[in-house]
Amino acid sequence: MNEGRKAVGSRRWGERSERWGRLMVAARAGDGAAYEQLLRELDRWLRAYYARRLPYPAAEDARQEALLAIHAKRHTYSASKPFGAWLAAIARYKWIDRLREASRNSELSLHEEIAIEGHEGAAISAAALDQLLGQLKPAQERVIRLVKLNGLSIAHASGATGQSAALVKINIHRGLKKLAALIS
Amino acid sequence: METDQLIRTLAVDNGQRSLPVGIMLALALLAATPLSTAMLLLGLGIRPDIMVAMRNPFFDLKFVVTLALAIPATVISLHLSRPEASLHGWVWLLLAPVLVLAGAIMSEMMLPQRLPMLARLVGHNSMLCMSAIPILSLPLLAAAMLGLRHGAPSRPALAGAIAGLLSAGFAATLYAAHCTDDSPLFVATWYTIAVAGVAGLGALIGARVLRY
Repeated sequence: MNEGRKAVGSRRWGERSERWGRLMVAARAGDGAAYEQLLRELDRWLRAYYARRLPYPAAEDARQEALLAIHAKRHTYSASKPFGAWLAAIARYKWIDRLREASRNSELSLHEEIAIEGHEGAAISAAALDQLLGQLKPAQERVIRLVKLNGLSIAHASGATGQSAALVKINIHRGLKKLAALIS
Repeated sequence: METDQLIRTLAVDNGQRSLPVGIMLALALLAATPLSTAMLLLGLGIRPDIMVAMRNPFFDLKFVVTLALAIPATVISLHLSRPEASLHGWVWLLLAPVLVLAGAIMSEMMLPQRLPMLARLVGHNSMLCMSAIPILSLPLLAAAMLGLRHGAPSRPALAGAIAGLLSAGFAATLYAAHCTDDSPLFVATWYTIAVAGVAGLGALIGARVLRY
């Protein structure tokens, strides 16, 4: 938490942390405009955060992942605690996640080359599909299985997973994009 | 997807809200407790001499030890479900069962005993103890994972291990009503092995299930 500590020390960071905390509290009370404002400011901060830590496409991805995580886990922010520390922890988690994924995928691509030779490039087997889906975030994997493989509607998948319909769509979109990247 | 569109979608989604992790965990554990209790009652039963046993302070102490594990582990689980939380400053809570056990062992040492130390440690049924506690803890572990999935732990494996401790703690509380070995030496040995196994399982599951 190097960045976190360094940042927490500065006065400007403290002010921003307080401001974001207030926006989050307002958002919780139902103020949609405050929430959108908060997300925009966090997006700007995250852009700078990941630009310093990851190469371009991964940085973009990590930023969107972090925004989604902030949204999905916003109930874990407690209004009595500093918002900055909460935000920095999520940003850092998604950063490490991205690094880990990058190293895992480099292993996978090596492994896949060997597998493809044996199968003469035939259709993807269920096992291979399982393995690919296993590379996704659990939330993405679930909705893709439900909607794309089992043929459930978005509304049903939303009910089954507890994700809102909008989030189901986002997760399917991002999951499919990720799958395409894994296969290519 | 454009970030701008993503932000707008998320903002519209603001109405959708999750309950606090504490409530989700409590509901899940409340739902799983009858299941584990039924497994105990139907599979093993309560020890037949329980009315007599309750007058033995070392029988009662088993419940104090196991709850002294389960309750702090629950508190730590909830703490760790926040992303910025770390174990630092909280881990000493897990000393509670260790201290209770150490005190119990010392007082047992000071009292005259019918059986030698080794016989008390080995007990009657250590194998059952080591298998029953993990089995009884499974519904509770699943429930704890379901509840804690609403959190955002920065170290999912660690959070999973603590969830293992909490479920094994409650499972051991149930099992203690069946177990006829009351010596704190028995509890310190076999209960600990069983609990450690569940904690390890919790870490493995948590590393996968508690990621966000």
